[in-house]
Amino acid sequence: MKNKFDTFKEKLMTDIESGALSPKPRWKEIGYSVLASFLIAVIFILTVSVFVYLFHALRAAGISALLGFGWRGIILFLVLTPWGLIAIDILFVMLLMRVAKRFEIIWKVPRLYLAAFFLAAAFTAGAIFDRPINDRLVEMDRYERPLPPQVGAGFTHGTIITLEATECILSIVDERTGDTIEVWVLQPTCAQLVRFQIGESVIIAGEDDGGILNAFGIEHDKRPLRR
Amino acid sequence: MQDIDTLSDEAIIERVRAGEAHVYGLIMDRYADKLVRYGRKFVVDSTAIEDAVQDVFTNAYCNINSFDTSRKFQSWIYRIAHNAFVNLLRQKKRAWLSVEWDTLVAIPSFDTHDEDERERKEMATLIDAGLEQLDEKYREILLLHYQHSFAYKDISEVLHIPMGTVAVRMKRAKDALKKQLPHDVYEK
Repeated sequence: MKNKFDTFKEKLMTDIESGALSPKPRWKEIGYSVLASFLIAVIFILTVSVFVYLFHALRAAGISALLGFGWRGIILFLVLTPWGLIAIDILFVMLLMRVAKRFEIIWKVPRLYLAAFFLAAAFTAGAIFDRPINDRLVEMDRYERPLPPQVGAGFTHGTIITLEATECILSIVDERTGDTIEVWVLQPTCAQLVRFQIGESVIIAGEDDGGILNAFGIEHDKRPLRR
Repeated sequence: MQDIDTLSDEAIIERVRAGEAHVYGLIMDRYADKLVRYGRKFVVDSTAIEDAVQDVFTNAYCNINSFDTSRKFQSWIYRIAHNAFVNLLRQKKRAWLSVEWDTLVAIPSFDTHDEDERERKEMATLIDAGLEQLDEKYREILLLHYQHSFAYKDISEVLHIPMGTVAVRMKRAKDALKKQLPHDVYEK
């Protein structure tokens, strides 16, 4: 190596001393760091935006109401959650970690913790900005009305036309088809029927049993785009 | 005036930055052989290693303004060398998608400045005897610690991985090395 190295050293030193090779100015390094910080901020804002939209989508489709329907509601919620949006957020976080790798504070932390931190931070920021942003966008008519859930999705929206709270029976006009659906509300949800009135819009989760909907959850329809 | 040969790497870099570019040659003299030895454990082709080491010195000079002189220069130049050798390896096999699972979670670690000197020598001998078969990430960490005398903190800075990961990787590397070598080698 020595001979080859000596030749190289000589050439490099000549280049350095003649000015043919010069150190990159410090501002370039600072510029890269500023650019990386800007990219990190942009990616983080995108991640938060996806969460903001996700919260709106869950609420507008009535899916978030399922969380109040016990464990069956939670399972249905998990099935109906738009996982594609969450996958996009995970991809954003992976990209963010890649860009942020140049900073010491980032590579010193185990990656799983860092990913969890970024996701939690984006989720929290999304939750904070959810109502202020989404309510305003709804007011400005910027969102399309979401499609009603498909028949067999496990829940539906409708208007109460008959109600016998003591018998746990009601009937609704299904928003999807316009048909009348007879509903038998299972215990212990039946006890909540006193909170409802004829003419109210509701979200009902349950299973069809020979033309009768056996409902395990019923809630007032609070979807923002319901008109 | 202090003899230039006794100056620390960091002090030399300060002087290069201040305009005494000719003292950069000292840095090259100090690190050329070390970096070639480091590179040999990544790549077999000695011409490729020499070329990579030359690139390391050129890159180090070009980026000298980004070096923070409150830190160790040694870790910084080894980081540049690490990247150069990893790129060389990648050209040989497409390994860029591999996930380093041990960097995912935190593991408590401690540094090993007070490690038994005899153990260090034994490990250095073992490394000479059987490093070739080891996974690159184990090979590199053993080499940095036992042959280049890097502390865990310095290794963490070269490889850009958390200290806990260095500790775990070191333990796994030692286990893997002992498994690979015939008993008579490491019982000597």
